[in-house]
Amino acid sequence: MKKALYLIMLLLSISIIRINAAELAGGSLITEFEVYDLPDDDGSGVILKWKPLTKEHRIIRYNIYRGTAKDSLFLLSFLEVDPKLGVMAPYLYYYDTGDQPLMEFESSPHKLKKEKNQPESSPLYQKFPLDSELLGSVIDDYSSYALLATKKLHSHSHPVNLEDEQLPGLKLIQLEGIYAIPKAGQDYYYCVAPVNERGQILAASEVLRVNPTDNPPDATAIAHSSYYPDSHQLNFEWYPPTGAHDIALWQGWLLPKTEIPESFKLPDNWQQRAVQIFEIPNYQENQVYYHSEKLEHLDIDFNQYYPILAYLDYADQPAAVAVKSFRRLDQNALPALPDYKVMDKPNDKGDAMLVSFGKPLVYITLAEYASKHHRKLKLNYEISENENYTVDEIRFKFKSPAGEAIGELVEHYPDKLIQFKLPDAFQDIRQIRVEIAVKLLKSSAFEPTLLRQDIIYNDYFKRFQPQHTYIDDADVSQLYYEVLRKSHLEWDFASGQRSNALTRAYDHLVPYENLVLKPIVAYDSASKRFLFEDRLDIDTEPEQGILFEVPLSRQKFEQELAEREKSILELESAINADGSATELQAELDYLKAEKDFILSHPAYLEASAAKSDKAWREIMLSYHNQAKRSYQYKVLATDTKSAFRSSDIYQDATGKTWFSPEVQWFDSTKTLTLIATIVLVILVLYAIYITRIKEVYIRPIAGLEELDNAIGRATEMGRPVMFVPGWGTLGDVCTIASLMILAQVAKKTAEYDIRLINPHCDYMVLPLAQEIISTSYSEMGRPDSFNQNDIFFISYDQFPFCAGVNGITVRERVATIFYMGFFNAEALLLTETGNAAGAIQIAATDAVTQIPFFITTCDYTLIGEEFYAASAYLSRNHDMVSMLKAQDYFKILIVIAVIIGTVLSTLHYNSFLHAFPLE
Amino acid sequence: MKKTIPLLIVIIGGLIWVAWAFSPHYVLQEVFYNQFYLPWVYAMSSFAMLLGVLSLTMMHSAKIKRKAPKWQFSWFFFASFIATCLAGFIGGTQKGGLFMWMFENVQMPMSATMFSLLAFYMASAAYKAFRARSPEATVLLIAAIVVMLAQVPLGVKISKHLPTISQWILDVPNLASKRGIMLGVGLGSVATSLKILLGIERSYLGGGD
Repeated sequence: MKKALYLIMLLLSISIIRINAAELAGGSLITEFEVYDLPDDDGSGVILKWKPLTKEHRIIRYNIYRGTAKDSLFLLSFLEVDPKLGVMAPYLYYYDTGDQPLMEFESSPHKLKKEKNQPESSPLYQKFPLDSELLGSVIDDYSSYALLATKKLHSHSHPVNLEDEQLPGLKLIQLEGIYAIPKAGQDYYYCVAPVNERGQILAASEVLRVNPTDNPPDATAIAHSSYYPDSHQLNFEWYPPTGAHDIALWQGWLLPKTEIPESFKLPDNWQQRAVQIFEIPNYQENQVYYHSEKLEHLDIDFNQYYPILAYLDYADQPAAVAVKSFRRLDQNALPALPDYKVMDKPNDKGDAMLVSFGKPLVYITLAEYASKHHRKLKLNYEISENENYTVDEIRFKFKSPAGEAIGELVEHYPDKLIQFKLPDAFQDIRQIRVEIAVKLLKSSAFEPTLLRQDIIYNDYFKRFQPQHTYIDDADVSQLYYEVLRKSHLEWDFASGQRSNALTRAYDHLVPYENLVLKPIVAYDSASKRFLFEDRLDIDTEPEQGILFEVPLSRQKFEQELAEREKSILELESAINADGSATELQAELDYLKAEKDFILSHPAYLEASAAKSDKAWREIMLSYHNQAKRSYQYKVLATDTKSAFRSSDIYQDATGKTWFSPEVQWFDSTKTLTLIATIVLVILVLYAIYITRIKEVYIRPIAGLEELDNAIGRATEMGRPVMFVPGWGTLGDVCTIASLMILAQVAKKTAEYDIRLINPHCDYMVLPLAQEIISTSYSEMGRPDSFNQNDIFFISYDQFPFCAGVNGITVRERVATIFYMGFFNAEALLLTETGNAAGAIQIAATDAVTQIPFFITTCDYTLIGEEFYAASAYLSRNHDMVSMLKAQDYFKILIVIAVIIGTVLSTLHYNSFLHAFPLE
Repeated sequence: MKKTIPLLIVIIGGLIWVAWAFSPHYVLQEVFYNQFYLPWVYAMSSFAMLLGVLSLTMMHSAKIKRKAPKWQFSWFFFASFIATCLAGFIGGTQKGGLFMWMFENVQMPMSATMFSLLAFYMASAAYKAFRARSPEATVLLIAAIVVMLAQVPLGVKISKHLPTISQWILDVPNLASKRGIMLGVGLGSVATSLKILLGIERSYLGGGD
């Protein structure tokens, strides 16, 4: 029988190995593998498509390999799939747009490594290795970028000569990451390899070549337009197609309606019959674009035309869409702009600005009947507020759709939920109009702004849902606000941060420039450094198109200034020789304006006085950072269909138009916490004084009173004492408190000369506990009784630790156990085992959820603060006892505050509550 | 001197953390915390792990040497430690490898077993807690029955008011006592931190008061 079983097992193993070997060594299982160029892009994208394997193969992921030569492909990325369910879709797709790093410092090997489980002739390699030479050989095959710390580039780079110029160079180890984006006209090779549940890489697909091309942009932009005859204004609002980063220019045209078929497909050569109305550069990729054009000069009948949005990519390849939703509107139809304020966001590290809109609003989100007979309503509401105002009270007025008053309710403490009892006449009402007004803190009356909502009962969901929302009778259901902003280094205002009209605040994040993605210019094999552009943008002058940028080297900058001066002189002499050279005059004017802009710029003036090159660079860097983090703001209100109105550039009361976030030294929301801490410190000092002049009373704590008896019992029985410090880390105050008690317990065990076992689940706490126990034994004159092996580490995991402690409890027949520290689900497992073993158990924890279990199963439990008081209680040290008294004094203050708060809020005075940082 | 320098380190370090808690400044939040403290902790914790390994090895080797009770089990520690290390270092820790297989098929089921024991221990603890030996224990018993019944469909069948009563017990008396304990815990932990920061409590430096 046994032999037969062995034979079956052997045969099974052989068959599994054979199947496995066939999968690994045999032909590829991947079928219908295709690689093609991503359409409508600039040639930087590739699509991979293949048929996924069935779930029987237990595939966990598909590895994607890429290379610029057919014989060497590197692991680029992978697609994870569920091995149990497999892939439901008929095909899997992978889009390579260069968003995955070519190499990763955590996972890339240090040298070239062949991929596992592949034949000797396989072209597959693991991740691109951390090899400068190899990386240097491929950077020209891609658009290569490095993610790097600006500090390293500006302060730790090494100048390297490249042809006739010097560029900053960084070693591979100084970079944070490398990204390689495919580029048009270059051959790339791809393949896919499935990986099964056992981590084995199965036979890869065939290697396919692709040559991405720069395609025309996708003609799928969604555009809206409206014309305002009273002001001769034409508005455009559009959402760009995918791949908008490749669009260089936006154009607006008008095409006679007769030229556009019903399908709205533009005919060939449509531009010959169209009138161009604007052309603007695509300065930055936005989610949505706005443009407004005054057309007084155009004498045409707009009823006979359709607007066209056209765009060209950087290779001058065009695309265009006809605007289907073209409207004629009055200026009055344009949405009103909100009141807004731009300010530095308080209590941050200086990386955000705040745009706040008007005063707070309250609106209903959901409502339902709270009684069976539909006589009581339960309404959930939301408060939209900003940093400038705090809502104190809310008034809800309920009306019928005909305007008949139903009732009124004032919410004195906004908890986002109200209940309203309907009068009998309005029982089971199906539509209610709610008018909501707010009273602000420190204000005596409700605000005049009224938010009105129609909430309608939905029979399917059996709930009321808000349908229309009006602010001061203006419908805001389709109104959105857009915060437009522009830094010193940008040419135009950026858009794309849209929020609905109920929003009262918008955070504009202005991050510090710690990391930048920089194109790699070249690789210098002699110094093994990657070279980067060394220019710093300082400022722009958008009207004349001037960009003030400097190289990192002062010498190079001065050289450039001299060359500019020379060019000006040459141009002046050329113009003097040929007076009709208008192009040269324009170039001369530009160069002069650029020179004047630079020479009068504060950055130049301040840096000119710098005594060293380093100081010069520091000044330029500080101006660069200041320019990058300074913004101008505008707000735009839109109906999302081109009826928009934009504000002027925001200026504050002092006329300031540029704003930058400021770093804060103190978080004002923590003022009360700081005051409380200072009060506690004062109380401690007072308590120290009191305890030194007289004996103070400390309430007896049963668990600690019994400590001597518990250890004495262990001594009498000749069995060990165990101290379990829980599984808190050294960063937890409860662990520190636990170690303080451990010191006292160790003294007692040393005194009685009984063995102390101290298991740990944190290897950082372990050496500290060893040191504490060792010192305690020495202090009691029993250093010889100290056994370091009794203080040990068990496991970092919760249940292995619990199993280990339980095992010791049973094996060593421990007489007394102390559980002191932070505990979770293992608390009951530990104490029940101790209970079964007949040990005396004393527990102390600040984990509220575990206290009931300890109370049930332990002989004595220190609840909450008693745990923290234990070391003072045991030591009876005056200074430590004073801390207990200070806590008691502070508790009296808390109780007084709670009573005052309860009384005042019951009387609807909420100012006291608002003084506390309540969530 | 043996205690003064560590005490100074603790006080200065503590004050930095107090400043970190109250100040959102870039230097404290970004430069100190993200750029200095976190990388330092990551680097240090991996070295500290060696302490744990060393402690375990010392304890088990001493047990084997002394032939302490059940010393044979200590060989299992060495066997499993070596096997896990080899599986991790040679085969890697990714899914599908031997290391992860061992984790999923040995460690996880054993942890689950320990956790599932909790149900039985809980029943035994509940029996002890709910014995109506005193008026207080009787209140506890009634409250527990109401709350437990309200969690199951049977409770609603018995009375439609049961979930409301249960929610009231949880929201009012239960929450009030819980907050009382938490207030004491919060105050206790602040006081302990202050004791350390002001140098009143020094036993963590290695014994003594």
